[in-house]
Amino acid sequence: MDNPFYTAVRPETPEEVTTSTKVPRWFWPLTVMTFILGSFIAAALKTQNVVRREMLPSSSYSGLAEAYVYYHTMELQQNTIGSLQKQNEVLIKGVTERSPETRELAAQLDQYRFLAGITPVTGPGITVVLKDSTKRPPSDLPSQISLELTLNYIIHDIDIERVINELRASGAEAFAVNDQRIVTTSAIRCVGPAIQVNGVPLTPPYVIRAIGDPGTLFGALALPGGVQESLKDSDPAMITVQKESSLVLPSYDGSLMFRYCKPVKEDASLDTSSGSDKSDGDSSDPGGQ
Amino acid sequence: MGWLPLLAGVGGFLLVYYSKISVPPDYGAYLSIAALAGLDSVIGGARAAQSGKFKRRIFISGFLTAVIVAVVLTWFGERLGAEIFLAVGFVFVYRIMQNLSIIRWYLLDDENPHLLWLLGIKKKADENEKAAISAASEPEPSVTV
Repeated sequence: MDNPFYTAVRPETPEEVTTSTKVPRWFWPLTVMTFILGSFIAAALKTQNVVRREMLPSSSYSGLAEAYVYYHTMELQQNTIGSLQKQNEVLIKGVTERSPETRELAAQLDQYRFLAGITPVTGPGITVVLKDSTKRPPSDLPSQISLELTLNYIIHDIDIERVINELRASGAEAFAVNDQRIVTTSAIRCVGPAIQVNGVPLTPPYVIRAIGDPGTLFGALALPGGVQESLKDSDPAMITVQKESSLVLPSYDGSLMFRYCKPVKEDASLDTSSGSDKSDGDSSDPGGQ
Repeated sequence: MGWLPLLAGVGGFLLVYYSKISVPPDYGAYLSIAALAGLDSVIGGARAAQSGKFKRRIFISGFLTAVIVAVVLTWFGERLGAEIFLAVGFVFVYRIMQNLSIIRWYLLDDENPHLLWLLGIKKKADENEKAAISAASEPEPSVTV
């Protein structure tokens, strides 16, 4: 024990020398710190998972920024359209109050606007709510079959179309799907998970409002072989029909631009069959020969 | 009994991982470098325990300063736009590997089979004294704590 090194490295305090019956000096600090370290590592791992999942890779930023700018521009332009239309109405009113003729014309214009669907309308009618079913085919089927069967539990664009068609056939006069008014050029399309009406994506539940005689419309939908019956076969919760004593349908606020369709010029020698392109030249053509 | 701190570490890990505790993702980088600093400090403490030179004060203060310095350096580097955390991580990993090799040296040494002592196969009274002797007589790779 004369080794100078030994003296230098021998611990000074008596507690350093431990036997197997006593807890060594390093035990508690090391254990506690390792515990804390373990929690640090766990928190770091968890945060990394969140970071990886939620934060976007920087390569998507430019695409997102463009999309955001387009969306914003589109919103601004729609606002402009709305305010211009309002101005238009005010100006027309101002002009048409001048004389009885113009007032008559203005009344006719209002009537045509009403018929075209660009004014809000009200009346009694019916509300049809279509929504996806929560049921799914039993899981013991092979996947192809269950995939096909799952289509029965989802609302498709043709379901909305069929409802509107059946209501139209029973005398309904105006329609709106989730507050999108149906006009002559309205299309109902399935685009991915959403259905687009007038180009606006809509999500379920799809609320179809129609103005007409409530009793007739209700009865028309309930006829066997119709859309209501086939949807109720899949899941009765997919369709609910309700009579309404008073409905308000919003106006169509998109653009009604006809690029191919032009009005026919009215003149004395009018013969409607000669005005259009006809591939079969069988009709007589007395007028413009 | 050397495995108990390891158990505590695993326990702490599982406790936090499967809990509802969550850190805002913006601080993820700081947490990672702090974990690395803590790991280096703990492994250094384990090495010190192996050689009987463990000092409680030094260990705890070392842990805290390592974590704080690591986070401060990382934050500073982010302000400067220089990725200092890379250098910090490098240093910690280097020290971890060095300490691990020392621990391995202690565990597998012929004179002082600490591995057997850890596994409880050999019980040695006064093993700190023996360790001190062997540390004096054999070259020990040195590292600054």
